[in-house]
Amino acid sequence: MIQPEALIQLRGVSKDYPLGKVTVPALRGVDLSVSSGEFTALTGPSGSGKTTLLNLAGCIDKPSDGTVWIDGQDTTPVALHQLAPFRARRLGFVFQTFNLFPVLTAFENVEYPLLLSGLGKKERREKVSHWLAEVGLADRSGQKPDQLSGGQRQRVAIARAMIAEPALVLADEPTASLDSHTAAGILDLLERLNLGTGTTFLFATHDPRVMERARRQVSLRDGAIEDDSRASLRHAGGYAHAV
Amino acid sequence: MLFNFAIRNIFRNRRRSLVTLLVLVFGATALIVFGGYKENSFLGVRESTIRNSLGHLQIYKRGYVQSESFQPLQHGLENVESIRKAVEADPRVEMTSAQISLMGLVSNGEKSEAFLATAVEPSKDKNMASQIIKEGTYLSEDQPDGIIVGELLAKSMNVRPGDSLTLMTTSVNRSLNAMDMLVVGTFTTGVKDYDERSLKMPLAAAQRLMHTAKVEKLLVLLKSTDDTAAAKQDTARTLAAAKFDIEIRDWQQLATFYYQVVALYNGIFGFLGCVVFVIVVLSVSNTVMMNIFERTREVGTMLAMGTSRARVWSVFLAEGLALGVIGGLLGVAIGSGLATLINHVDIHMPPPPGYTVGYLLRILLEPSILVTTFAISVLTATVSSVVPGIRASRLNIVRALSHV
Ligand SMILES: Nc1ncnc2c1ncn2[C@@H]1O[C@H](COP(=O)(O)OP(=O)(O)OP(=O)(O)O)[C@@H](O)[C@H]1O
Ligand SMILES: [Mg+2]
Repeated sequence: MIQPEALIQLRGVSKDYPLGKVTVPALRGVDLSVSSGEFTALTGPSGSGKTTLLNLAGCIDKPSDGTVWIDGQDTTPVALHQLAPFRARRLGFVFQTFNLFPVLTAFENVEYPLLLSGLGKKERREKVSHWLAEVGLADRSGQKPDQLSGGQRQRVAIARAMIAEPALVLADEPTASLDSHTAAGILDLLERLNLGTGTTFLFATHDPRVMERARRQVSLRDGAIEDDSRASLRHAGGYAHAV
Repeated sequence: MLFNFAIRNIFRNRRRSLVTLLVLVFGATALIVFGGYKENSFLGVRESTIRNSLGHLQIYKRGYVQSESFQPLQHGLENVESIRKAVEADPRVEMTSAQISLMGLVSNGEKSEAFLATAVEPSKDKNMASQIIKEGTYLSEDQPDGIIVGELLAKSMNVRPGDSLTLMTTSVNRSLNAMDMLVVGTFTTGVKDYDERSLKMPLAAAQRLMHTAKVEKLLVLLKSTDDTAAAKQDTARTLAAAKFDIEIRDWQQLATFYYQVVALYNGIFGFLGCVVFVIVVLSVSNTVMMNIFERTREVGTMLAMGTSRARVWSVFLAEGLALGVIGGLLGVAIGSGLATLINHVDIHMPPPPGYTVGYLLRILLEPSILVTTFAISVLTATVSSVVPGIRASRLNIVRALSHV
């Protein structure tokens, strides 16, 4: 059954990669549902299928088998490029390597998703300023990515992922390129955004600090879910508040 | 935003963009210089063909063009003076000139050769400089038996100004007739074949030689070539109203040589254009393709974030367009600069095959050539990015994102 409150639901999802003559199974019959407002970490050893799962949940890849439901809708039969407007409206992406547009300033990078939605110039400016301030970079708006530190770049990327007010933000190893101090700052920011806006976050990570902060931890092994655990009371208050 | 993005991306890899711009500039310059040379040649050949030999219009007795003549001047104009009067009343007409062309034998007493003569009204024909006098003088009204002879024919006949030659031809009543003429000058037309056979004589002398008062045709020279069509129509109407039984051809119907030049140059120009087009297309699409390859992850990010395929495509199309605009502007500037320079320094070109005189290299800088060149540059660069852009927009998102 589809749970009505589930934002994402994966049912019996498998993913095989053809590799020469053989096929590599990256996911084998995964069932997972993520509710609105969750702050979830996908963990597991290298090659366990974290990135693959994230790509499927992010509608940028198709499962070999099974179905991916988002917002109560089966996205599996719809072509990826036809899901582009859906991704622009409902999903945000944060990458390990930040993936900012190098020729655009911090301001313009954050503004980019709003250009896709065709928002007016004045509203765009207000929103971008708001989100740059939100990630603590109000004074860096005119700088290009190569003039920013790694942590600052990831903050710009987070503002960019958040600006269109998505329901779900997918982040693959968001802290892996950062030193531990900077990573902690980024995690604080993500947690604050999750609690403040109710946006759902799904991470793939190796980073124990991320796992520690996550209120739910789904661990994968060899393409299957090994463990799915909710965190301690420490975050329960915040979670309830967010909902 | 799209153009801003495109321009910044162009300047991202300066060296590659510079090479592409150089190719575009080279292409534009080639088009401007050769196109301008071609236009200038057309204009030159056209005007010299008209003003030196054909005239803008030629008036004949009806039937002249269609039917084969069995005797000289069978279709000759009889009342040339009244036709001339009617035609010259048109203010667009500069002058008219009556002619007979005839063939025959020329002899110096020892040997004979075939000649091709144009019989002209010396005072009229003087202005139509189809030949350059090498020795002696041009024909004149007070030398009724004077002729000028092509320099190679003169050499072969071993005559110089002051010597005499006998011309023999068939008269209108099909009898042979001969006349002694005085060589007053020798000339060159620049074309060897003509210089070996042709001579010019006064119209009156030719009429005496052929026992006729007719002329073959009346050439009409206009003040401006642009008036040709209108003047032709009006002249035809005027002459028809006055009951003259004539027909008219314009220079476009007569200038076979001009059209051969046009066809030849357009052929060369078309070929050159194709070569330039291919080079530019390959170069620009290569640039756009390398840009896309380098930015695979960026494209993956755009697509993941929900950028439509059409938008990704337009990003790269805009880059091609921007390259085309910059390259086109630079190319037009540099091309016209080079053309101006060439016109300024007077480059002497050797005589073309079949000619004996060279000419000055001139490039006609017409606005239409510049506009066309710019348009071609923009169009080519844009077209070149269509396919790479489509490929970019169809990249596999996950693979693009993991591209290093
Ligand atoms: N494009 C591909 N072609 C072939 N095999 C692939 C491809 N992508 C992933 N795989 C395989 O699928 C499996 C799962 O990969 P995935 O990238 O999801 O793991 P991961 O948990 O994200 O690993 P890591 O922690 O190293 O990022 C691995 O065995 C991997 O080799
Ligand atoms: Mg991974």
